Amino acid sequence: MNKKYLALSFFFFIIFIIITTTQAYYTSETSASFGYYQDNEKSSHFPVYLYWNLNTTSHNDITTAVDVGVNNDAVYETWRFYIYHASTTIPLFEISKIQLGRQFIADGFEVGLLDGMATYLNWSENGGIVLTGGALHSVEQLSFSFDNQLYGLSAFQDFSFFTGRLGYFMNVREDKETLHLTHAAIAKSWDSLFWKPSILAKAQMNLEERDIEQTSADFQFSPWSPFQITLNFASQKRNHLMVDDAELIYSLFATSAQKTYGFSLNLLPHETTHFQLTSQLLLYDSPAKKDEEGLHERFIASWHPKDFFAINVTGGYLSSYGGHTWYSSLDFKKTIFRTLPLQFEVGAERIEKLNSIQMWAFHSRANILFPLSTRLSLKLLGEIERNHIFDIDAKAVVNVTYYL
Amino acid sequence: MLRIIYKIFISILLFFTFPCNFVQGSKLKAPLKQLFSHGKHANMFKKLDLHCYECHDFTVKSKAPGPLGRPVNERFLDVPKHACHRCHFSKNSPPRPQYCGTCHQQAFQLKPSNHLLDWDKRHGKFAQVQGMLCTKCHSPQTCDQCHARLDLVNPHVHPANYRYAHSVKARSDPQSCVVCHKRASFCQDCHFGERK
Repeated sequence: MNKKYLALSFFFFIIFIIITTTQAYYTSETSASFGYYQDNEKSSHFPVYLYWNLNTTSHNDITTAVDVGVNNDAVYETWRFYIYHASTTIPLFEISKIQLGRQFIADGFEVGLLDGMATYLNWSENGGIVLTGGALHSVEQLSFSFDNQLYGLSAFQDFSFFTGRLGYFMNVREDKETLHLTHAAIAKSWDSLFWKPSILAKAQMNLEERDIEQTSADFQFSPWSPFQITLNFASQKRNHLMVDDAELIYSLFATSAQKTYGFSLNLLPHETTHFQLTSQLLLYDSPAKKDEEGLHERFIASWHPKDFFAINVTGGYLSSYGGHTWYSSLDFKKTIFRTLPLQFEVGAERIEKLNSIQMWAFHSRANILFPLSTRLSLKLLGEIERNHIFDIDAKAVVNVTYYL
Repeated sequence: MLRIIYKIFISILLFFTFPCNFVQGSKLKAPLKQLFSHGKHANMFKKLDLHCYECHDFTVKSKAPGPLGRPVNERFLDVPKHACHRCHFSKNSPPRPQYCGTCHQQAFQLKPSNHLLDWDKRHGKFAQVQGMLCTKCHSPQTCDQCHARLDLVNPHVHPANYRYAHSVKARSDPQSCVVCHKRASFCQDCHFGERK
């Protein structure tokens, strides 16, 4: 069965190539990265990653988007071919469209890859219906599978006073009961009001169990011009729509919904300068320890006076049942010799883990981009890490990109 | 929790001392006439079957007085402000934010006001509700770079030395792991010795 789908995908791939030769307009980006590292048993590895990105538009406005990759290091160091995105979009009635193939979906609370069809039936620039149907896919899946099917309908409208979205998803899966989920969301920004408040709230409900599965809210406001404050909250149960064993991974850690309370304080004293303090408190029940909590606090100071000149200083603290980490880093970006963008980062981290490992970890990395021509660029990257396993863990990467 | 409240209080006090002159916007690197070349675009216009009137507005009546006044004042031939974006910001040329700097000075300032430093943590919920806004600046493949590609050479998501402290993060925010890592075998590869 898998061979059949593989042959089918190869067929579509050839079709895409044929389409590109007859298109009115196309852009392509081909990127190859290869590097070298030694593992902790001193074995040598030569990872190679090749990506090809293509966007085409035909004379009749049919567009094609392809993003594929070949690499030898993703999981088991054998060469494998990955289709991250391969879709064709057919326009309907000027503002509507049908998108066929593998595509990224982000709707309601879902995020991931879908093998199937999404139809956007818009009645205006600001409103419409999205019909979705197909099989959910994860990039770790090495074959086509239609075991986890998703069918949905989502309506959205940007009213003058808020944006609303209302939707329904049906999940059909082998060996499991069919799930019926509905979701609703509102979003609104009041740019003309004194505090410039902006709000987003959404919820997902299991129709059969009549239970709220997931909720999320985000509130941002600016009490004074240089300040912005963000408050957010999320309550997420295990996401039953996830493919493969994702539910299993989550259940290893948590037996309840994960609740996240977030706060962010931003100071933007000048258009080039940004200070941010964020704090996140995460709560859930776990099989090992009934109440677990995580705390993540981070401070960033960013100065970005030019497109290719920026300095970011980051410091943070993260704690959980698994241990504590304190981290800091300095990130520097500048164009040297007028045309060569250079990025340099250095960082230190103190890690104290539950299993009594206490260590300092350091890293430093730099990359420089050589625009060899308007279509060809070469990027060199070097990275050195030091931690409790490696005295020196070095990585060198060469990245060649060609734009068409 | 007390520590958080304390930090909020101290931070607000500190922030009172800063001036408030935050503005957003970006100017062009040069006048549009210098940035745009008819010659370099000629082939593409021919391919796309685009005509002069697609950019230049000839329908505007001249206000020049008298019978000898020019039928259309030359300044009306100037293209509207966003004429370039009709192609460079549309499906003909999938938008890529890194190209904004070709014409715009300090292009990073074109970002929407909610794209703050923690936007990587917050963008998902907005994309799920107002996804049509994302596509104005980002191509369909933008999401793939972080959400689909498992690239150990060019990691887009995790910082350096991440694997040595990932357990702390995983116990702190398990929901964030399963957004991308959906197979239990991903954990087993290292924890059962497949990868070193």
